[in-house]
Amino acid sequence: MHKLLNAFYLKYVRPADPGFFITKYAAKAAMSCLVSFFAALLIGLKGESFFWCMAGAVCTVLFRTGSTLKRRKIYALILLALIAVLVPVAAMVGQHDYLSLGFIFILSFACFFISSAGVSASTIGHGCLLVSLLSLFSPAGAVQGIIRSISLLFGGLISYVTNFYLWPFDPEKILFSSAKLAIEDMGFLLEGVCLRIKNPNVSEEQLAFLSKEAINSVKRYRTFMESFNIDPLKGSGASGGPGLFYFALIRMFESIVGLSNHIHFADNQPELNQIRDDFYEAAAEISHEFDKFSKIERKQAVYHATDFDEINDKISQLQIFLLNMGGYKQGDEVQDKFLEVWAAIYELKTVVNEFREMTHLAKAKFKLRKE
Amino acid sequence: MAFIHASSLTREFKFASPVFHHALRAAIAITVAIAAAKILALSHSVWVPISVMVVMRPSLGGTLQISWKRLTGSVVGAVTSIILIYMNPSIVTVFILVSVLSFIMLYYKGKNYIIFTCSLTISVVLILGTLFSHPWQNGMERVLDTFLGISIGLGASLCIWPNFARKNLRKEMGDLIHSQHEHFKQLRAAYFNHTVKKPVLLGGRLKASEKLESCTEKFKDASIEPGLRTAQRQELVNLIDIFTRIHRTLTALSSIVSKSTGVFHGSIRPRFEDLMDAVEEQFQILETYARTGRFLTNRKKFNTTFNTFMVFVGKMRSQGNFENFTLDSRNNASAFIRQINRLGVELTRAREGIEALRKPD
Repeated sequence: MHKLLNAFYLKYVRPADPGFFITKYAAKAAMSCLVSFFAALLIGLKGESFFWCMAGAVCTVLFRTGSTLKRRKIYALILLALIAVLVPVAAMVGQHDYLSLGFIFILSFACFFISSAGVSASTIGHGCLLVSLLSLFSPAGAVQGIIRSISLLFGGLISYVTNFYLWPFDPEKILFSSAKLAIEDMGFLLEGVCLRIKNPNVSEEQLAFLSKEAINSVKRYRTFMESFNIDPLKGSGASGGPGLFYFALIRMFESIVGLSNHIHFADNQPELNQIRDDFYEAAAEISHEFDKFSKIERKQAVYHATDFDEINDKISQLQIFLLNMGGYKQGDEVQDKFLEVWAAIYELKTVVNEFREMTHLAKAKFKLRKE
Repeated sequence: MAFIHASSLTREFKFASPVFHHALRAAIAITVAIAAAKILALSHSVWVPISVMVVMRPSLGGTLQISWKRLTGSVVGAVTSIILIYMNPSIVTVFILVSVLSFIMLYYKGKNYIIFTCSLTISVVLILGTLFSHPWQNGMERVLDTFLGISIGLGASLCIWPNFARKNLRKEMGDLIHSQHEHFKQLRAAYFNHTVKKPVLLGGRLKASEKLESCTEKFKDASIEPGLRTAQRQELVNLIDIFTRIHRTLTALSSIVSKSTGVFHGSIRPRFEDLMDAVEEQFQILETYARTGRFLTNRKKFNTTFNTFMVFVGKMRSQGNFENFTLDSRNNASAFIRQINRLGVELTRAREGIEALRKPD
């Protein structure tokens, strides 16, 4: 059953929502609205007040913005404060036809113009405009407008508390999951690159797709770091830092892309068949080991330890074999082909070095022990 | 941060600014939508300006893209909800359905706008259908209001300072090439001088990556706009592929640079600098051509420079000049040279692509 579910996840869920991150994100938002809904029922809100309470709750989750947790909280509060002021004003203005047109013209202009200040400003602007339009189309007096505003704040604040305090994400758990996903995606890319060595039918588009998935996973890791107020760029120095592992992921990705740019050396070159087969064997073994490493588990905190010396020996044998072929003695045209093979072997070596470095850092960061 | 935002707002607050135009266009369209909704006395008139608000994008292509998605989502959603209401669901069923649909809506927010609109429409019409009678009218009204809103939005995009995405392609492409060129310069400096730090390289690549994403979006918007030939639309897609490959090559170069041990010393250094200059010249020519349509003739073709370099490398190798270097250093250089060749080839392809795009009927 477990295997069946795993296969289903890999085939259908993972391509759309790796790690269920979006599902959790949406579930959190839906749950925040539900909590507001039951809270409104509990205190006996009815009719229009109930509607505005839900409008506040939906608005808070629908217009979430900001790259860090701290900023998201601040922006949510700014949005709530702005709509709490705009809603009664729009309700009163809505009673006068021409005034309402003038009001909405100025508000729309402001909301669209503010988008030049960035995505967050634009999102808040659209949230304000939407709620103001709702209020404008059901005109009311000042008292009614203020009641709307209070209901809206009630729903919005409950949604805010649920979203940011009652159901917060555990940073370590999220970072581990996103790191695992990034490693898995790079594993898929490496596997694709290995397949391409022997099989020219693996297209550039397929590799480009895998590459895009892998870089998106690395980006996701960075986004989560930023969400938890961890600066990803602190970690490049020798002294280390929170972003050290992020840099290891970047270098790992770069090295696989580097390898993928050099694997065409044996296409239509029968004289290079032997070296191609040996190269493929070495690359496939690395990919296999990479795949085993990507199965790291958070609960057991174990990882598969790779014997890098054995892999490096294989690469050294490849180099000796290539040296013995004496490419540079065979004229300019052949030299060029051999240069490409040397470059490919170099890139393969880089992949191994980065893999070793990444394993080492993952072990330290996530406190893993050998299987 | 607030200071930066304030300065960008002040900079854009002038009549000639495209942001100002967009804001004014959107404000006029939304005001017209409200006036129309009031004149027509629609029972859910707020849907009209909301549709306008959602579909308004800075370019006509962007507005067209989002408009058809919103209309499709609304129609499918309205039909589904009408069918659901005629099945007489209980209040509890409606509550469960709306909860599930809210989850779907939030799940697809930013991922798939058609599904987002569809689930939103079903929820809205279901709630209205439960509270009031005439579910069929509610569904139809939702579709018609959306259609009216989209029409007003498209009308405004076409009539008020129409902003065709293709008009900005020169600038977008120029900016993209410039950022890729700047990143290449950083990589070159890092490879030879070891003075450029990893975060700086990463920053350069992120900037190039952002430009690539922005350019891709603009190209997609442009390809949907009227006024282009089929071949030109295809060429836009090809160009994006080429720029993506250039970006990938720069990524791979970065990996090699990080392992640099400074191979190119001695008599090979000036030749190698020549090769790097040739790549930079290619970038420069491409940027000027993309921005102005003016084609600068280059000193030498990249192919010629590269082949000359390779002949020189071959001579040095046969004379045993590389024996002093470690195998790793030599391989690092081989990998670097292969990536430079790839970069040169892609830059030439990009130039041919832009030429094809500019070709008159």
